[in-house]
Amino acid sequence: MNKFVRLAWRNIWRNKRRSLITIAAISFAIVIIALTRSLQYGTYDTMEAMAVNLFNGEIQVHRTGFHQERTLAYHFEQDEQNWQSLLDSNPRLQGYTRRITSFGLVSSDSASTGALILGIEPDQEPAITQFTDLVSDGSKLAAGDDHLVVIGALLAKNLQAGIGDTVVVLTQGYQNQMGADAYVVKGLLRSGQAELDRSIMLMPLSNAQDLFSLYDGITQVVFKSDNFRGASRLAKSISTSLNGKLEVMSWEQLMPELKQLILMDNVSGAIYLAFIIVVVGIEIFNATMMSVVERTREFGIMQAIGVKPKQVGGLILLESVSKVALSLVVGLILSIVVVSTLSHYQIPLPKDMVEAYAEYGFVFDDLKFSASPRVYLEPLVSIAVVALLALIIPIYKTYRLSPVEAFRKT
Amino acid sequence: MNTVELSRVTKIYQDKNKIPVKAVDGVDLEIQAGEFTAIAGPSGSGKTTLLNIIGGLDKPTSGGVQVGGQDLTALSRDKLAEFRLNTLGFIFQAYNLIPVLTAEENAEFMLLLQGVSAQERHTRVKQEFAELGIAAELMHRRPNELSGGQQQRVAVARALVSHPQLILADEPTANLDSKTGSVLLDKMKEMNEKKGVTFIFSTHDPMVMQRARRLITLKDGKIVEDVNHR
Repeated sequence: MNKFVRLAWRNIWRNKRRSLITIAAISFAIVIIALTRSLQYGTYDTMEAMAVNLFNGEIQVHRTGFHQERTLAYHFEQDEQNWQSLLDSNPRLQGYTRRITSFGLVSSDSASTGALILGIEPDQEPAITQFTDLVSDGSKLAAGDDHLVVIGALLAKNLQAGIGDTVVVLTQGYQNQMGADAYVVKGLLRSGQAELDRSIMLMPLSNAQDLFSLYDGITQVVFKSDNFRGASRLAKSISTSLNGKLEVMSWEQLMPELKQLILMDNVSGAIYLAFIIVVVGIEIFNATMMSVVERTREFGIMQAIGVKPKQVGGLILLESVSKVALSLVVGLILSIVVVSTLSHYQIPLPKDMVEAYAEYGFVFDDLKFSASPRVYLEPLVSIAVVALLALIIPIYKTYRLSPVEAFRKT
Repeated sequence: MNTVELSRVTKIYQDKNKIPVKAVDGVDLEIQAGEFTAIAGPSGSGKTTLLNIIGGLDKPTSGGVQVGGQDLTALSRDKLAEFRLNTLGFIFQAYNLIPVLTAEENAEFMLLLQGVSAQERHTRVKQEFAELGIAAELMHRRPNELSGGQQQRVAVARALVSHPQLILADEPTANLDSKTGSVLLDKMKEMNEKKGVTFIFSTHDPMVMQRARRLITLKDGKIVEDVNHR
């Protein structure tokens, strides 16, 4: 085949304009696909990281049934397992924190409302999630705090309570006993998620244990690892270490609706991109067919002077593959330049999109681009495959062509 | 020794209306090595079809075709291409050089396919060009930079350079002026006499017929006259 390399290369450029249009069309399609995928994956990555790091954490350990029922009946002893040795035994785990999650009625001097009450370890939680850092007024909880709470900004607004005010919490304890206590508001939390800001109340874990009569009990342990993408595998490993005594769920299991949302968006994006790829395939088919039809006599002559039919087909394959390969290289270079340039600048999202994302609990106000290898690999591989498929008919026609038929057609 | 042996060769085509047309009708023909033969006849008499059958470009509907000792009817498409590469040289009416290759590259193309070394290819092409009177400065020009006569000389060089046993020339002078055609025919005749290469022409050019040592006349696919001027 190397005998035909020079011939193939010159044939690519014998109709310079057509080849350049083909290369430009394929390269442009690669850039469009890469840019679209970069934006999609960048947004998904941000959404996932935000959802995981903000509140839920990467991996949660709780008693089986707690995730569905959310009642204190599913509590367990805070030292039921040696969490520190579990952490030490797995180098991918970076930290853990313990929580109590339940509900109660919060009252101020002027109003009452339901609240999600979260007992946290103020010195551990910031290493695992980010929501405790989102205090907009006052200050966040600290180790050693007692009867101090941080409440959501909208909850404070509904209660007409501010920093330094006292709020009273009424709850039902673990064995249905009444829990009631008064707390001073230390800070207001503003996450940007209306649902959370309207309902959350954070208090030290020990205060929550007293309030819910759990004493040494907790409802969850939340783990953080070195990479949240590997959470599923790590969750299985932790579950094995715990001998199945407690349920271990990764963030994908904790938030299946997020996965669904991303999957739906991804599929609709992929359908749109498939159209572009099909158009590219048609362009490659068209350009190759034109070249084959125009050169029918030439192929007849080549066979007449001793070129085998499969060598003529191979020549077309070599020309077309070279052209596509050149387009892929140009497209890849342009894609890298465009994606890295755009991701360098923080391009603001339109206000209505910011609001739409906030509806789903995602707070970001600029476009997010991903530069992961799959952003570039997807268009390259898909276009390479489509190009090869588009070449089947022209190459087959060339292969089947007999010299006499070629002379007769021209 | 016979280079070409045709026995009762018939070729039937279907025309555009799917009506069978006999292009060659039961032709028996023997051509010996070193002959300089012209096949003449009016348009549609079957000259080109007969030449295509001898060159393995077309298969007869019936009959036997032996060229250089090979039964062409039994060969696959790949084997036929191999046979043409190693045994034949073709010269066409419209020159049919490969447009993206230079004169030298066109001439050496068959040698390249045969696996001849670059040095050997260059030497042989240079020598053939010199014998055909192609100036050295034309070697690196592409076909569209050459005149019709120059292109046909390159086409003849391409046919000769691989030292084939047989050269088939389909109306080689039809697109040339009489002076250029005459010079080229003289060169081909010289090659025939000097190197013993067998030439078979399909033609209705009187210049070719005059120079041919054997003149075969076809009519309606049948040989109606076979005159040997030896």
